[in-house]
Amino acid sequence: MSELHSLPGATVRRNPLSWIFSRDHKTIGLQFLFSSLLWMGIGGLLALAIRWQLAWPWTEIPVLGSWLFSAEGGQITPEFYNVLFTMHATVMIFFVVIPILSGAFGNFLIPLMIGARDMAFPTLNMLSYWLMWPAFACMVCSVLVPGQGPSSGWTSYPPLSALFSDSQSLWAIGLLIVGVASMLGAINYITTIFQMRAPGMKMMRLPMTIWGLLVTAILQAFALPVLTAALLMQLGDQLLGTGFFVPQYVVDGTEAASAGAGGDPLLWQHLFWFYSHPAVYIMILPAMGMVSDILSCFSRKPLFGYRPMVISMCAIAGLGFVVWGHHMFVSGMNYLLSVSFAVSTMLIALPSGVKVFNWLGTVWGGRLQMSAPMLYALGFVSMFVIGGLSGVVMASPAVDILVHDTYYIVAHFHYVLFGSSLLAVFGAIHFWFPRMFGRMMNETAGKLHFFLTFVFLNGTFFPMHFLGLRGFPRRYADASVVETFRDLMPLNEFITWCAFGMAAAQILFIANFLGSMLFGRRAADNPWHANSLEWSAPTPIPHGNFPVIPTVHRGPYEYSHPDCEQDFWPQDQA
Amino acid sequence: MNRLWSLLFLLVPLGATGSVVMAALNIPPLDGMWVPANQNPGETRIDSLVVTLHLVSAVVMMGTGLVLAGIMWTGTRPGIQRAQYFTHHAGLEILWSVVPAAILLWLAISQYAAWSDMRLERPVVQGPGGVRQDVPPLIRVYAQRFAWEFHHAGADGSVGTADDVIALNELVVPAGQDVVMEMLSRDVIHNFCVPSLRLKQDIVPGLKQLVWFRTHAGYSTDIVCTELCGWGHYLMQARLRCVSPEEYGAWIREHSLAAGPGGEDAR
Repeated sequence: MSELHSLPGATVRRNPLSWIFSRDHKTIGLQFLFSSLLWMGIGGLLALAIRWQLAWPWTEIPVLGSWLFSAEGGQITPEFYNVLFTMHATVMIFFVVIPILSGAFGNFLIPLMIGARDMAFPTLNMLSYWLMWPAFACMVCSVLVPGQGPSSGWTSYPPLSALFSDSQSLWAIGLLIVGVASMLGAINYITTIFQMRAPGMKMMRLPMTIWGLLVTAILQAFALPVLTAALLMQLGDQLLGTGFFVPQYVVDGTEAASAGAGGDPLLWQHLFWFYSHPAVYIMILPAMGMVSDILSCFSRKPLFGYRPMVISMCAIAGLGFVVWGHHMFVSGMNYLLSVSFAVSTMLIALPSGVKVFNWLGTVWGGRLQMSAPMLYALGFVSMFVIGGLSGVVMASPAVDILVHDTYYIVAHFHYVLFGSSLLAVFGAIHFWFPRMFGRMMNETAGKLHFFLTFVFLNGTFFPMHFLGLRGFPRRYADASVVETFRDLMPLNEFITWCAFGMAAAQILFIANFLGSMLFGRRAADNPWHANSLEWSAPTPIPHGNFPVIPTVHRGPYEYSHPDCEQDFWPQDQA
Repeated sequence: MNRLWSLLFLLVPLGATGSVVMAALNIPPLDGMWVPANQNPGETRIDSLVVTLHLVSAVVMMGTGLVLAGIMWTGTRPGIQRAQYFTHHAGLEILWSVVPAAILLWLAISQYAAWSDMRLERPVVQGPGGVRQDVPPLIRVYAQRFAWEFHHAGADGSVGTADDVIALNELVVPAGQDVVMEMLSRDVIHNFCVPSLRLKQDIVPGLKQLVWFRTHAGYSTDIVCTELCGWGHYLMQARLRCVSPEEYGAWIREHSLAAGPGGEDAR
């Protein structure tokens, strides 16, 4: 524990090194935030290169093409196209969405919202951030080492992933390190939330953001060891000649040749998805929590059905462990098993639906303020409905035969991860910016950014449903080579234009973020008139957070309470 | 002014539902953007299932989207104002848990038949003595980076024998009968996919996969690989051609003679 470290009144030395190697949860949260936003830029550029290739296959990429692919006349090679989508997914999942939700907001908000001075294990916390850089270095090196680069997709299915051993091994090592970083964070979050809550902060008085982060941490703690073990086994197959996933090749249906090692490629898929499906919820539950808090605050109304919201979050997490097989309906897995995975997948829509209805119940009868954070939160709800419903469609194994590994899937998970999670992240940045930097973000720029992002994200991802219904496979470098898909090229071009529009809109966000950080209007301690404890800390928030640890008297959603004169009732106000 | 945001949110259910309906009903400019017409009369349940699932989705989309936009229109206020205070409503919450649960359970159960057609109930024929037996494989597919090799059963009617007719990237099947194929991979995982025949199956090295379908004479389409298999993944395609049983017999005889004795052993 960190008693000495978190003595009230302790001050941060103004030495840059002490900022870099800080053990203060707020600083580590901001480090995660800055890094994730940087990585988001990289992941976004990779996405644009993918979109360029899909719209105008084998033409020279502007600016970067002649520099990166001088030998090929400035055009992407098919090998590099596979590297592009592998790294886009890897960066966006493991270096953007997970670290920005759990790392940035988890670190920044947990001690503040539960009324603690810091995390339970500050050094572990610092390590969890600093492990991200060696992991990222591994990813960069995996592309730079001679050979093809990691090009078997973020799913890294063997035996394909066994073919590019150097780059693929570096990729796997990078992922292993990210996993360890996440596990350190998860242990820290669970311990902190269970052990260090302020007096009166009962579990059922926790803000939904904290519930989201807690359930996410539990998911990480239980699911990540499986991925870690599976990655070690894959590394063994690549480097040590073990045979966990590389099969004995069956050449003529009856006689086994000795080309392989007797492993089972499906075993990898089971282990991988046992982690990676819960990972989907790792990438959405904290966002759901943050959106709940923002919606309640800007509706000036209590969160509708707090208890069912908590229960449905736990149900999503629990069911999330028994639905992984829906990624494997066409894999050759036992066909009857698919039926049970279909039922569990359909059922997980139920708690998700309850959450949507409760968000509607929250804004119903509210006095809505259309601030930038509120617009992002409402955008989250709207986009989550689309992403959730396409998930129900795909839960049917028979329908999955039509849409599996097509752009329908790409549309689905981008609606969940971009349309939902990242909109929530933008909203959360606007909402908690005053606590992070003591200044307000520019509202007009924020609303314009929301409008452009919202329009272009729908223009980019919605038409992908139609590509998928037509059967157009994902991970294809060129649709025009298949006669069946040639007429889809104009739609691909339209999607690419929208993607460029969406990317351009992010320049506005960067300008607003940096500009507001330096020149934004000074924020009051509680500019949104919100209830949870982080708004009770002084500005700037000192090391140790609170001059005196607050006592909690009520839940975080007592807005417009008839017994309170003002329309909000802070948790620590007697 | 702030109310106008609700119009943007109104466009989401209208646009999403409208475009899906246009695609499903083949209305320009979204004509040809629905699942390709089914050319496999053996598996028709899947088509009505796709429509049902999208219909249910569209209703939920419209319902939630209109409510959200409506709340935004009526509830938006210029500054901070006191709102109604209510924290829950047990009746409503039970209603919106039970009704979706019933619908989801119904969907989960009703989709079973389509899956069963495709994967669990292999076609059967009357064998000797009237005994029903599985239709034997007519074709063996070998997938390898980045080509398809099709072994058509020769005169003996069995695959994997010396009189198989081997064709690269060309699959010829007889019309009007259930064609059962066994599929094997020579290297990495591939996927045999023909959207118009409702076929998509991974081919995992080490496992033998079976698929079945039937189609009509004169039909021809692309076969594509939909499981990432390397740099040439997008190039891994073949052509499927369905001919009358007579033409099929003639094609087999012609190519058996052309290949000469030896067949697979000579490979």
